[in-house]
Amino acid sequence: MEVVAFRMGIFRNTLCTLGLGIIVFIALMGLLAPIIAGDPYKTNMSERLKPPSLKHLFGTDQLGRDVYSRIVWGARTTLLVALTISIISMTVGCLLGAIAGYFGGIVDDVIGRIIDTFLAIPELVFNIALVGIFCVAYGTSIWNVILAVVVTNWVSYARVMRSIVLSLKEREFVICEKALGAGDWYILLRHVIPNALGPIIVLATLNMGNVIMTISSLGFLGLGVQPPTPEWGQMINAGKNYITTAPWLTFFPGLFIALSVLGFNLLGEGLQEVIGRKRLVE
Amino acid sequence: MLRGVGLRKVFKTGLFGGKRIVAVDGVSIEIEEGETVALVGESGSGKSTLGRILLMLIRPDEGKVFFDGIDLTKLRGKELKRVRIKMQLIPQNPEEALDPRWRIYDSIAEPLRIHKLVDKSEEEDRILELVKAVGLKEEHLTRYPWQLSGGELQRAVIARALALNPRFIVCDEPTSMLDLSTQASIVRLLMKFQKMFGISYLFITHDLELAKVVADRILIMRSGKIVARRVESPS
Repeated sequence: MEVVAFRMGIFRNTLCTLGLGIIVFIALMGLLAPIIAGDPYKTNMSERLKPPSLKHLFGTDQLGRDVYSRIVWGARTTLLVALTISIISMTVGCLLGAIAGYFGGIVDDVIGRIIDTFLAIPELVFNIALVGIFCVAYGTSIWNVILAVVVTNWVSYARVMRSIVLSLKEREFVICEKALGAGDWYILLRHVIPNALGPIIVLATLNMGNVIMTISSLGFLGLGVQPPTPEWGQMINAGKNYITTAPWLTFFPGLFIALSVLGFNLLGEGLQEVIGRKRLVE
Repeated sequence: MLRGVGLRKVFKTGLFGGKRIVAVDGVSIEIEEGETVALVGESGSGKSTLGRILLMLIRPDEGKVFFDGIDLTKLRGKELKRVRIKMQLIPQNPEEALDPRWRIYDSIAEPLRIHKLVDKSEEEDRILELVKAVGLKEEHLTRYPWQLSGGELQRAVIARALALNPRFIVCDEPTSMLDLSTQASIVRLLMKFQKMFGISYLFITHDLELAKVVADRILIMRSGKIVARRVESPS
């Protein structure tokens, strides 16, 4: 019942439908990459820097690789990395935020100060520094990027979760649970966190856009996913030397970064409207 | 049966806890088996806080709460959980008292599950019995809280509180959010269960007339202190 009404709400909302459409489109690109695209690694020196044509939809790069194939495979890289980052930072952030809000006292003070400290440092600068440190310490790996972004990204989840839990724990049904004899962890996991998930889902969707931007920025700076693995930010970096002679090298990856960020932002905004309206109806 | 002695609770608010609000100020209270004590006072007089202290939902800064001679303020964790079976809370706003994401059935079954009081096979019988006793229909069980009216919700809340066969219930303004006709039926329901099971009530209300009807004794509270006590003659 509830789920059906919620689904109808999503599709009746233009922002949601549009955002979801874009995301599904890009996700399908990544999913179907082996079928709809060619080999993103195959170089062809006789066809370097060719403009878009029927044979090469988005043209070819300085090594004669098909830009279309690299974009399609890049969707897979970007989405997988962004999803991993989101899931890890959501789990960590939500748990810490919920614990801080629910138990209060010293626990809240400690977690709260950690959150404040992380908020005080500019995110991208911190990410760059962390990737650098991880690279020196553990060698280059995709996990460097994931870990570095998670370290700055969990904070927003923790902060939002903490404030939701603070208001939830004063609600009468939570106080009733205590009177029934339920333990703190039981209440937190079965009642408080499930009731906080609405706003968290909105945050996660909006946050996916940010994460994609961060991954691409790191890629552009040469700190993200390493070549030859196709990744949009890194493709822009490689193409920037040819920006006047072969603009398609930078245009198409840029377009897809913008499109996917737009998709997640639209869906997030739309969900916010749908969830907000659902509250009012109840 | 239940006795609170010299209870005191101070809330600290404001920056660095600079502002102090004395919610309950040295209150002693006694409730006998099968008795209804009404606690009357204006909002902010500390009556809800006192009710929650007696249930150990808020720990008092000073004073002790005895239940059957056991000092509850000394209990922690498992021991406190065992005592909680015997005392329950019916809160003010029935629309807030049940988890909005849970079906009525699961909400009523929850206390039984938490304390592992009945087997899975007996659970359904017990719940149907409870639901009948409070005057709800079976079809209400599969619904969510927002699909029920205030009166129906309050009945579900009462069913949940009764599931554990408690001996003491704090009713924190159980009728103030309901319309007049529903109020009467909820009060009648509470009185019926008192006769059936010999439950003691602490009936918190701001309505003196209602207190006169339901209570054996009335305590009047103002700014954290009990300022008047009177015994109602049985009507």
